[in-house]
Amino acid sequence: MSKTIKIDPVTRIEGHARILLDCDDSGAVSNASFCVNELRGFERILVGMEASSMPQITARICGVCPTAHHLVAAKALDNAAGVEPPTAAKLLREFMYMGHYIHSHCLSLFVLAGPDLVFGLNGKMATQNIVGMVDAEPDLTKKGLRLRSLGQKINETIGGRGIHPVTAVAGGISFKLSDGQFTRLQELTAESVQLVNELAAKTKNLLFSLLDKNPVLL
Amino acid sequence: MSGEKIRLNTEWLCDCGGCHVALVDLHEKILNVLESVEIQKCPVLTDVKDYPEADIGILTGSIRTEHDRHAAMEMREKCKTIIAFGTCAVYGGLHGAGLAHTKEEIMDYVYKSTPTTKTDFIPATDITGLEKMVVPVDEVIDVDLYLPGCPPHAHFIFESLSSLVDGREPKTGQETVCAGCSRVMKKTDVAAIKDNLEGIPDDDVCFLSQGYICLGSVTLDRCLAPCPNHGVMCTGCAGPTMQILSEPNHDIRTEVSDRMSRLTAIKNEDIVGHIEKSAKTHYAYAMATKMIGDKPTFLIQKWIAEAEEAK
Repeated sequence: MSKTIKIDPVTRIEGHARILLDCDDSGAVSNASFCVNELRGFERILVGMEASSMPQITARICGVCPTAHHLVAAKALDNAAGVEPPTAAKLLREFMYMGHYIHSHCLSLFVLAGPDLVFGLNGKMATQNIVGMVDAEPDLTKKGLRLRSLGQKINETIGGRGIHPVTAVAGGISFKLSDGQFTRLQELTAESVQLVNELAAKTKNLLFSLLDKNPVLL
Repeated sequence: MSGEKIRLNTEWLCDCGGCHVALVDLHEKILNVLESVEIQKCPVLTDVKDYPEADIGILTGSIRTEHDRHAAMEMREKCKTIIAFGTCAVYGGLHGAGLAHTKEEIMDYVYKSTPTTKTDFIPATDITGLEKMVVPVDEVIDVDLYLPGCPPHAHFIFESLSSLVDGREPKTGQETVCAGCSRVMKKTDVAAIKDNLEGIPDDDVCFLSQGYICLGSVTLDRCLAPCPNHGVMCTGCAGPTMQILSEPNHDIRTEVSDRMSRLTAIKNEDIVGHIEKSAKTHYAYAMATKMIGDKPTFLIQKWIAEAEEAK
Protein backbone atom coordinates (compact mmCIF):
# COMPACT_ATOMS: atom_id res chain seq x y z
CA MET A 1 0.00 0.00 0.00
CA SER A 2 1.32 3.45 -0.81
CA LYS A 3 1.91 5.78 2.09
CA THR A 4 3.63 9.00 3.10
CA ILE A 5 6.26 9.00 5.81
CA LYS A 6 6.31 12.34 7.57
CA ILE A 7 9.12 13.63 9.78
CA ASP A 8 7.69 16.76 11.34
CA PRO A 9 9.46 18.62 12.72
CA VAL A 10 13.01 17.64 11.82
CA THR A 11 14.73 18.26 15.15
CA ARG A 12 18.26 19.29 16.12
CA ILE A 13 18.85 21.25 12.91
CA GLU A 14 19.47 24.95 12.39
CA GLY A 15 15.93 25.87 11.44
CA HIS A 16 12.31 24.86 10.90
CA ALA A 17 11.75 21.97 8.50
CA ARG A 18 9.81 18.82 7.76
CA ILE A 19 10.46 15.88 5.46
CA LEU A 20 7.81 14.05 3.45
CA LEU A 21 8.57 10.72 1.77
CA ASP A 22 5.93 9.25 -0.53
CA CYS A 23 6.28 5.47 -0.88
CA ASP A 24 4.65 3.31 -3.53
CA ASP A 25 2.99 -0.11 -3.08
CA SER A 26 6.33 -1.90 -2.91
CA GLY A 27 7.63 0.50 -0.25
CA ALA A 28 10.05 2.25 -2.62
CA VAL A 29 10.27 6.03 -2.33
CA SER A 30 8.39 7.61 -5.22
CA ASN A 31 8.70 11.25 -4.20
CA ALA A 32 10.58 13.12 -1.49
CA SER A 33 10.33 16.67 -0.28
CA PHE A 34 12.20 18.73 2.25
CA CYS A 35 10.01 21.66 3.29
CA VAL A 36 11.47 24.70 4.97
CA ASN A 37 8.23 26.22 6.06
CA GLU A 38 9.57 29.42 7.51
CA LEU A 39 8.25 32.00 5.11
CA ARG A 40 8.11 35.50 6.47
CA GLY A 41 8.44 37.33 3.18
CA PHE A 42 11.63 39.31 3.78
CA GLU A 43 12.00 39.63 0.01
CA ARG A 44 8.89 41.82 -0.05
CA ILE A 45 9.00 43.31 3.46
CA LEU A 46 12.43 44.90 2.99
CA VAL A 47 11.32 46.87 -0.06
CA GLY A 48 10.48 50.38 1.10
CA MET A 49 12.45 50.21 4.34
CA GLU A 50 15.38 52.53 5.04
CA ALA A 51 18.49 51.13 3.35
CA SER A 52 20.76 52.22 6.19
CA SER A 53 18.88 49.94 8.62
CA MET A 54 19.35 46.85 6.45
CA PRO A 55 22.33 45.32 8.30
CA GLN A 56 20.29 45.32 11.53
CA ILE A 57 17.10 44.15 9.84
CA THR A 58 18.44 41.40 7.56
CA ALA A 59 20.17 39.77 10.54
CA ARG A 60 16.64 38.80 11.63
CA ILE A 61 16.35 36.48 8.64
CA CYS A 62 18.13 33.88 10.75
CA GLY A 63 19.00 33.87 14.43
CA VAL A 64 21.38 30.94 13.94
CA CYS A 65 23.54 32.68 11.31
CA PRO A 66 22.68 36.37 11.83
CA THR A 67 26.26 37.58 11.37
CA ALA A 68 26.30 36.34 7.77
CA HIS A 69 23.12 38.25 6.90
CA HIS A 70 24.34 41.29 8.83
CA LEU A 71 27.67 41.47 7.01
CA VAL A 72 26.24 40.81 3.57
CA ALA A 73 23.79 43.69 3.96
CA ALA A 74 26.67 45.96 5.04
CA LYS A 75 28.66 44.87 1.98
CA ALA A 76 25.67 45.58 -0.25
CA LEU A 77 25.54 49.09 1.23
CA ASP A 78 29.31 49.50 0.62
CA ASN A 79 28.73 48.58 -3.02
CA ALA A 80 25.67 50.79 -3.38
CA ALA A 81 27.55 53.75 -1.93
CA GLY A 82 30.68 52.91 -3.95
CA VAL A 83 32.88 52.95 -0.86
CA GLU A 84 35.71 50.68 0.25
CA PRO A 85 35.90 50.10 4.02
CA PRO A 86 39.29 50.81 5.62
CA THR A 87 41.50 47.78 6.30
CA ALA A 88 40.84 47.88 10.06
CA ALA A 89 37.09 47.71 9.46
CA LYS A 90 37.44 44.84 7.01
CA LEU A 91 39.53 42.92 9.53
CA LEU A 92 37.09 43.60 12.34
CA ARG A 93 34.21 42.37 10.19
CA GLU A 94 36.17 39.23 9.37
CA PHE A 95 37.12 38.75 13.02
CA MET A 96 33.44 39.11 14.00
CA TYR A 97 32.58 36.49 11.42
CA MET A 98 35.24 34.08 12.68
CA GLY A 99 33.73 34.39 16.17
CA HIS A 100 30.34 33.58 14.73
CA TYR A 101 31.85 30.71 12.77
CA ILE A 102 33.17 29.10 15.94
CA HIS A 103 29.84 29.64 17.71
CA SER A 104 27.74 28.25 14.88
CA HIS A 105 29.97 25.26 14.14
CA CYS A 106 30.09 24.32 17.82
CA LEU A 107 26.29 24.46 17.90
CA SER A 108 26.17 22.10 14.94
CA LEU A 109 28.96 19.82 16.06
CA PHE A 110 28.27 19.52 19.80
CA VAL A 111 24.66 20.55 20.47
CA LEU A 112 22.82 19.44 17.32
CA ALA A 113 24.83 16.54 15.83
CA GLY A 114 26.81 15.83 19.01
CA PRO A 115 24.32 13.36 20.50
CA ASP A 116 24.47 11.28 17.27
CA LEU A 117 28.28 11.31 17.39
CA VAL A 118 28.34 10.16 20.99
CA PHE A 119 25.41 7.73 21.08
CA GLY A 120 25.21 6.64 17.42
CA LEU A 121 22.13 6.88 15.25
CA ASN A 122 20.00 4.49 17.30
CA GLY A 123 20.39 5.97 20.76
CA LYS A 124 17.51 6.36 23.20
CA MET A 125 15.37 9.42 22.56
CA ALA A 126 15.48 10.41 26.24
CA THR A 127 19.26 10.79 26.24
CA GLN A 128 19.90 11.70 22.59
CA ASN A 129 20.46 15.35 23.52
CA ILE A 130 22.88 17.77 25.17
CA VAL A 131 21.77 16.69 28.66
CA GLY A 132 22.56 13.05 27.90
CA MET A 133 25.87 14.14 26.43
CA VAL A 134 26.88 16.00 29.59
CA ASP A 135 26.39 12.75 31.51
CA ALA A 136 28.15 10.50 28.97
CA GLU A 137 30.97 12.79 27.86
CA PRO A 138 31.24 15.58 30.45
CA ASP A 139 34.68 16.81 29.40
CA LEU A 140 33.97 16.94 25.67
CA THR A 141 30.54 18.50 26.14
CA LYS A 142 31.58 21.16 28.63
CA LYS A 143 34.59 22.13 26.54
CA GLY A 144 32.42 22.20 23.41
CA LEU A 145 29.92 24.50 25.11
CA ARG A 146 32.77 26.63 26.42
CA LEU A 147 34.29 26.96 22.93
CA ARG A 148 30.87 27.87 21.56
CA SER A 149 30.53 30.59 24.19
CA LEU A 150 33.99 31.99 23.33
CA GLY A 151 33.00 32.28 19.67
CA GLN A 152 29.85 34.12 20.63
CA LYS A 153 31.78 36.43 22.96
CA ILE A 154 34.16 37.34 20.10
CA ASN A 155 31.15 37.97 17.86
CA GLU A 156 29.51 40.05 20.59
CA THR A 157 32.62 42.07 21.45
CA ILE A 158 32.93 43.25 17.84
CA GLY A 159 29.30 43.06 16.74
CA GLY A 160 27.85 44.76 19.81
CA ARG A 161 25.45 41.86 20.14
CA GLY A 162 25.98 38.13 19.55
CA ILE A 163 22.61 37.22 18.10
CA HIS A 164 21.73 39.97 15.64
CA PRO A 165 24.97 41.99 15.64
CA VAL A 166 24.73 45.68 14.75
CA THR A 167 28.11 47.32 14.15
CA ALA A 168 28.77 46.70 10.43
CA VAL A 169 27.58 49.81 8.58
CA ALA A 170 28.10 51.14 5.07
CA GLY A 171 31.79 51.96 4.75
CA GLY A 172 33.03 50.06 7.79
CA ILE A 173 32.39 49.50 11.47
CA SER A 174 30.46 51.85 13.74
CA PHE A 175 32.66 51.96 16.82
CA LYS A 176 36.30 52.16 17.92
CA LEU A 177 37.73 49.09 19.59
CA SER A 178 38.88 50.07 23.09
CA ASP A 179 42.11 48.79 24.66
CA GLY A 180 40.02 46.72 27.05
CA GLN A 181 38.11 45.14 24.18
CA PHE A 182 41.35 44.47 22.31
CA THR A 183 42.82 42.64 25.31
CA ARG A 184 39.59 40.70 25.78
CA LEU A 185 39.66 39.57 22.14
CA GLN A 186 43.25 38.37 22.60
CA GLU A 187 42.23 36.34 25.64
CA LEU A 188 39.15 34.90 23.94
CA THR A 189 41.18 33.94 20.89
CA ALA A 190 43.98 32.31 22.89
CA GLU A 191 41.54 30.20 24.89
CA SER A 192 39.66 29.24 21.69
CA VAL A 193 42.84 28.00 20.02
CA GLN A 194 43.73 25.98 23.10
CA LEU A 195 40.26 24.40 23.29
CA VAL A 196 40.19 23.55 19.59
CA ASN A 197 43.49 21.73 20.03
CA GLU A 198 42.07 19.80 22.96
CA LEU A 199 38.80 18.93 21.20
CA ALA A 200 39.93 18.24 17.64
CA ALA A 201 41.29 14.69 17.95
CA LYS A 202 38.42 13.37 20.03
CA THR A 203 35.79 14.96 17.79
CA LYS A 204 37.48 13.67 14.65
CA ASN A 205 37.51 10.14 16.10
CA LEU A 206 33.81 10.34 16.92
CA LEU A 207 33.03 11.56 13.39
CA PHE A 208 35.09 8.85 11.71
CA SER A 209 33.68 6.14 13.92
CA LEU A 210 30.10 7.26 13.10
CA LEU A 211 30.97 7.04 9.39
CA ASP A 212 32.63 3.64 9.81
CA LYS A 213 29.53 2.29 11.51
CA ASN A 214 27.16 3.92 9.03
CA PRO A 215 28.79 3.92 5.58
CA VAL A 216 25.43 4.96 4.13
CA LEU A 217 26.11 8.46 5.44
CA LEU A 218 28.97 8.95 3.00
CA MET B 1 12.10 23.86 44.82
CA SER B 2 12.85 20.38 46.01
CA GLY B 3 12.64 16.93 44.50
CA GLU B 4 10.86 16.87 41.17
CA LYS B 5 12.41 18.79 38.31
CA ILE B 6 10.41 21.47 36.54
CA ARG B 7 9.29 20.16 33.15
CA LEU B 8 9.93 22.55 30.25
CA ASN B 9 8.61 22.54 26.70
CA THR B 10 9.73 25.02 24.09
CA GLU B 11 8.38 25.53 20.60
CA TRP B 12 9.24 27.93 17.80
CA LEU B 13 6.55 29.43 15.62
CA CYS B 14 7.18 31.98 12.86
CA ASP B 15 10.61 33.33 13.79
CA CYS B 16 14.32 33.37 13.01
CA GLY B 17 15.30 30.82 15.66
CA GLY B 18 17.40 33.43 17.48
CA CYS B 19 15.42 33.15 20.70
CA HIS B 20 16.18 29.44 20.89
CA VAL B 21 19.84 30.19 20.20
CA ALA B 22 19.63 32.75 23.01
CA LEU B 23 18.42 30.02 25.38
CA VAL B 24 21.37 27.84 24.42
CA ASP B 25 23.54 30.98 24.74
CA LEU B 26 23.11 30.84 28.49
CA HIS B 27 26.27 28.79 27.81
CA GLU B 28 27.70 27.26 30.98
CA LYS B 29 24.77 28.72 32.91
CA ILE B 30 22.45 26.40 31.00
CA LEU B 31 23.98 23.58 33.03
CA ASN B 32 22.83 25.41 36.22
CA VAL B 33 19.33 25.71 34.78
CA LEU B 34 19.35 22.02 33.86
CA GLU B 35 19.93 21.06 37.49
CA SER B 36 16.36 22.06 38.29
CA VAL B 37 14.71 21.88 34.86
CA GLU B 38 13.96 18.89 32.67
CA ILE B 39 13.88 19.87 29.01
CA GLN B 40 11.24 17.79 27.23
CA LYS B 41 10.19 19.20 23.87
CA CYS B 42 12.71 21.64 22.42
CA PRO B 43 13.25 21.53 18.64
CA VAL B 44 16.95 22.47 18.81
CA LEU B 45 17.88 20.24 21.72
CA THR B 46 15.71 17.13 21.77
CA ASP B 47 13.90 14.83 19.32
CA VAL B 48 10.50 14.98 21.07
CA LYS B 49 7.94 15.67 18.34
CA ASP B 50 4.68 15.72 20.30
CA TYR B 51 3.71 17.94 23.22
CA PRO B 52 4.20 16.30 26.65
CA GLU B 53 2.55 17.72 29.80
CA ALA B 54 4.83 20.45 31.18
CA ASP B 55 5.07 23.03 33.93
CA ILE B 56 6.55 25.78 31.77
CA GLY B 57 6.11 26.35 28.05
CA ILE B 58 8.29 28.82 26.17
CA LEU B 59 6.85 29.99 22.86
CA THR B 60 9.03 31.98 20.47
CA GLY B 61 7.82 33.51 17.21
CA SER B 62 4.49 34.85 16.07
CA ILE B 63 1.50 33.26 14.37
CA ARG B 64 1.83 33.36 10.58
CA THR B 65 0.48 29.97 9.45
CA GLU B 66 -2.13 27.42 10.49
CA HIS B 67 0.84 25.31 11.62
CA ASP B 68 1.89 28.05 14.08
CA ARG B 69 -1.66 28.44 15.38
CA HIS B 70 -1.99 24.71 16.00
CA ALA B 71 1.39 24.50 17.75
CA ALA B 72 0.52 27.42 20.06
CA MET B 73 -2.80 25.80 21.01
CA GLU B 74 -1.12 22.45 21.72
CA MET B 75 1.42 24.19 23.94
CA ARG B 76 -1.32 26.04 25.86
CA GLU B 77 -3.18 22.81 26.46
CA LYS B 78 -0.14 20.97 27.81
CA CYS B 79 1.79 23.68 29.72
CA LYS B 80 0.71 25.19 33.03
CA THR B 81 2.57 28.47 32.46
CA ILE B 82 3.16 29.94 29.01
CA ILE B 83 5.91 32.48 28.36
CA ALA B 84 5.70 34.56 25.20
CA PHE B 85 9.44 34.76 24.61
CA GLY B 86 10.99 37.36 22.33
CA THR B 87 9.58 40.29 20.40
CA CYS B 88 7.88 38.14 17.73
CA ALA B 89 5.85 36.22 20.32
CA VAL B 90 5.00 39.37 22.28
CA TYR B 91 4.41 41.96 19.53
CA GLY B 92 4.59 40.08 16.21
CA GLY B 93 8.21 41.00 15.52
CA LEU B 94 9.96 42.40 12.47
CA HIS B 95 7.96 40.41 9.96
CA GLY B 96 4.88 42.14 11.37
CA ALA B 97 5.88 44.67 8.70
CA GLY B 98 4.39 42.08 6.34
CA LEU B 99 1.04 43.55 7.38
CA ALA B 100 1.83 46.37 4.97
CA HIS B 101 1.22 43.81 2.19
CA THR B 102 -1.41 41.22 1.41
CA LYS B 103 -0.38 37.60 1.81
CA GLU B 104 -0.90 37.11 -1.94
CA GLU B 105 1.53 39.94 -2.65
CA ILE B 106 4.13 38.35 -0.37
CA MET B 107 3.69 34.83 -1.79
CA ASP B 108 3.81 36.08 -5.38
CA TYR B 109 6.89 38.16 -4.79
CA VAL B 110 8.79 35.44 -2.92
CA TYR B 111 8.00 32.52 -5.23
CA LYS B 112 7.68 34.22 -8.60
CA SER B 113 8.89 37.76 -9.08
CA THR B 114 12.08 38.38 -7.09
CA PRO B 115 14.96 38.85 -9.56
CA THR B 116 16.90 35.92 -8.10
CA THR B 117 13.95 33.49 -8.10
CA LYS B 118 13.87 31.05 -10.98
CA THR B 119 10.53 29.38 -10.26
CA ASP B 120 7.22 30.77 -11.48
CA PHE B 121 4.76 28.87 -9.30
CA ILE B 122 3.72 28.76 -5.66
CA PRO B 123 4.12 25.26 -4.19
CA ALA B 124 0.59 24.10 -3.56
CA THR B 125 0.63 21.15 -1.21
CA ASP B 126 3.88 20.82 0.69
CA ILE B 127 3.99 24.19 2.43
CA THR B 128 1.51 25.61 4.90
CA GLY B 129 0.12 28.78 3.38
CA LEU B 130 0.28 32.11 5.19
CA GLU B 131 -2.70 33.29 7.21
CA LYS B 132 -4.08 36.68 6.30
CA MET B 133 -2.41 38.42 9.25
CA VAL B 134 0.73 38.13 11.39
CA VAL B 135 -0.36 38.14 15.03
CA PRO B 136 1.35 37.89 18.44
CA VAL B 137 0.86 34.68 20.42
CA ASP B 138 -1.72 36.17 22.81
CA GLU B 139 -4.14 36.74 19.94
CA VAL B 140 -4.50 32.97 19.77
CA ILE B 141 -3.94 31.67 23.31
CA ASP B 142 -3.73 33.06 26.87
CA VAL B 143 -0.21 34.03 27.86
CA ASP B 144 1.03 34.14 31.46
CA LEU B 145 4.36 35.94 31.11
CA TYR B 146 5.87 38.21 28.47
CA LEU B 147 9.59 38.54 27.78
CA PRO B 148 10.22 40.73 24.72
CA GLY B 149 13.67 41.33 23.23
CA CYS B 150 15.18 40.42 19.88
CA PRO B 151 16.39 38.23 21.44
CA PRO B 152 16.20 39.13 25.15
CA HIS B 153 19.67 39.54 26.68
CA ALA B 154 20.90 36.52 28.68
CA HIS B 155 20.63 38.64 31.84
CA PHE B 156 16.83 38.82 31.46
CA ILE B 157 16.45 35.19 30.34
CA PHE B 158 18.38 33.88 33.32
CA GLU B 159 16.45 36.10 35.71
CA SER B 160 13.11 34.96 34.25
CA LEU B 161 13.93 31.26 34.34
CA SER B 162 15.50 31.44 37.81
CA SER B 163 12.50 33.29 39.20
CA LEU B 164 10.14 30.64 37.83
CA VAL B 165 12.31 27.86 39.23
CA ASP B 166 12.46 29.60 42.63
CA GLY B 167 8.75 30.41 42.54
CA ARG B 168 9.18 34.18 42.90
CA GLU B 169 8.29 37.27 40.88
CA PRO B 170 10.93 38.07 38.22
CA LYS B 171 12.90 41.24 38.90
CA THR B 172 12.44 43.07 35.62
CA GLY B 173 12.59 46.83 35.30
CA GLN B 174 10.61 49.05 32.98
CA GLU B 175 13.57 51.22 31.94
CA THR B 176 14.05 52.34 28.37
CA VAL B 177 17.19 51.66 26.33
CA CYS B 178 18.31 55.20 27.27
CA ALA B 179 18.85 54.02 30.86
CA GLY B 180 21.73 51.83 29.72
CA CYS B 181 23.13 54.28 27.15
CA SER B 182 26.26 56.23 28.06
CA ARG B 183 25.56 59.13 25.69
CA VAL B 184 24.63 62.54 27.12
CA MET B 185 21.60 64.50 25.99
CA LYS B 186 22.32 68.14 25.27
CA LYS B 187 20.61 71.03 23.51
CA THR B 188 22.08 71.67 20.07
CA ASP B 189 21.32 73.92 17.11
CA VAL B 190 21.13 70.99 14.66
CA ALA B 191 18.51 72.14 12.15
CA ALA B 192 17.78 69.06 10.02
CA ILE B 193 17.27 65.32 10.46
CA LYS B 194 20.29 63.32 9.35
CA ASP B 195 20.22 60.01 7.54
CA ASN B 196 21.76 57.24 9.69
CA LEU B 197 24.76 57.14 7.38
CA GLU B 198 25.34 60.87 7.16
CA GLY B 199 28.57 62.06 8.80
CA ILE B 200 30.28 60.34 11.71
CA PRO B 201 28.25 60.63 14.92
CA ASP B 202 29.90 61.95 18.10
CA ASP B 203 30.41 58.97 20.45
CA ASP B 204 29.45 60.83 23.62
CA VAL B 205 26.35 62.79 22.63
CA CYS B 206 22.75 61.53 22.37
CA PHE B 207 21.84 60.60 18.78
CA LEU B 208 18.67 62.71 18.99
CA SER B 209 20.74 65.78 19.94
CA GLN B 210 22.84 65.15 16.81
CA GLY B 211 19.82 64.90 14.51
CA TYR B 212 19.73 61.11 14.13
CA ILE B 213 16.48 59.18 14.69
CA CYS B 214 17.12 56.77 17.58
CA LEU B 215 14.29 54.80 19.20
CA GLY B 216 16.10 54.25 22.51
CA SER B 217 13.77 56.54 24.46
CA VAL B 218 10.63 54.69 23.35
CA THR B 219 11.99 51.15 23.57
CA LEU B 220 11.91 48.80 26.55
CA ASP B 221 15.37 47.75 27.73
CA ARG B 222 15.66 43.99 27.32
CA CYS B 223 19.12 44.26 25.72
CA LEU B 224 21.35 46.38 28.03
CA ALA B 225 21.68 49.01 25.29
CA PRO B 226 24.40 47.58 23.04
CA CYS B 227 23.46 49.58 19.95
CA PRO B 228 23.89 53.21 21.11
CA ASN B 229 27.00 52.12 23.02
CA HIS B 230 28.47 50.82 19.74
CA GLY B 231 27.70 53.81 17.56
CA VAL B 232 24.40 52.52 16.17
CA MET B 233 20.94 54.04 16.67
CA CYS B 234 18.33 51.92 18.48
CA THR B 235 15.87 50.37 16.02
CA GLY B 236 13.32 49.44 18.68
CA CYS B 237 13.72 45.68 18.44
CA ALA B 238 12.48 44.91 21.99
CA GLY B 239 9.25 46.74 21.28
CA PRO B 240 7.82 49.95 22.71
CA THR B 241 7.49 50.92 26.39
CA MET B 242 4.20 50.41 28.23
CA GLN B 243 3.61 54.17 28.14
CA ILE B 244 3.62 54.11 24.34
CA LEU B 245 1.52 50.96 24.15
CA SER B 246 -1.11 51.87 26.70
CA GLU B 247 -1.89 55.52 26.01
CA PRO B 248 -3.87 56.19 22.83
CA ASN B 249 -2.31 59.60 22.25
CA HIS B 250 1.27 58.50 22.73
CA ASP B 251 3.08 56.84 19.89
CA ILE B 252 6.63 56.16 18.72
CA ARG B 253 6.65 59.21 16.46
CA THR B 254 5.03 61.63 18.94
CA GLU B 255 7.41 60.70 21.77
CA VAL B 256 10.56 60.77 19.64
CA SER B 257 9.57 64.07 18.03
CA ASP B 258 8.74 65.67 21.42
CA ARG B 259 12.14 64.80 22.82
CA MET B 260 14.15 65.44 19.66
CA SER B 261 12.56 68.81 18.94
CA ARG B 262 13.43 69.96 22.46
CA LEU B 263 17.05 68.81 22.04
CA THR B 264 17.58 70.33 18.58
CA ALA B 265 16.34 73.16 16.37
CA ILE B 266 14.30 70.70 14.28
CA LYS B 267 10.54 71.29 14.19
CA ASN B 268 8.30 68.74 15.88
CA GLU B 269 6.11 68.28 12.80
CA ASP B 270 9.15 67.68 10.57
CA ILE B 271 10.22 64.80 12.80
CA VAL B 272 6.71 63.33 12.89
CA GLY B 273 6.55 63.58 9.09
CA HIS B 274 9.96 61.95 8.70
CA ILE B 275 9.03 58.97 10.92
CA GLU B 276 5.71 58.54 9.11
CA LYS B 277 7.55 58.40 5.78
CA SER B 278 9.86 55.69 7.14
CA ALA B 279 7.14 54.04 9.27
CA LYS B 280 7.75 50.59 7.87
CA THR B 281 11.27 50.68 9.34
CA HIS B 282 10.42 52.34 12.64
CA TYR B 283 7.22 50.48 13.51
CA ALA B 284 8.19 47.08 12.09
CA TYR B 285 8.80 45.19 15.31
CA ALA B 286 5.50 46.05 16.96
CA MET B 287 3.02 46.95 14.26
CA ALA B 288 1.36 43.52 14.47
CA THR B 289 0.21 44.08 18.05
CA LYS B 290 -3.25 45.59 18.43
CA MET B 291 -1.79 47.91 21.03
CA ILE B 292 -0.08 49.73 18.13
CA GLY B 293 -2.20 48.63 15.18
CA ASP B 294 -5.49 49.74 16.74
CA LYS B 295 -4.32 53.23 17.71
CA PRO B 296 -6.59 55.73 15.99
CA THR B 297 -3.57 57.74 14.86
CA PHE B 298 -1.60 54.79 13.43
CA LEU B 299 -2.16 55.05 9.68
CA ILE B 300 0.55 52.72 8.41
CA GLN B 301 -1.11 51.83 5.09
CA LYS B 302 -1.61 55.51 4.27
CA TRP B 303 1.97 56.45 5.22
CA ILE B 304 3.47 53.64 3.16
CA ALA B 305 1.28 54.45 0.15
CA GLU B 306 2.27 58.12 0.38
CA ALA B 307 5.96 57.28 0.72
CA GLU B 308 5.83 54.98 -2.31
CA GLU B 309 3.91 57.56 -4.32
CA ALA B 310 6.49 60.24 -3.53
CA LYS B 311 9.28 58.16 -5.13
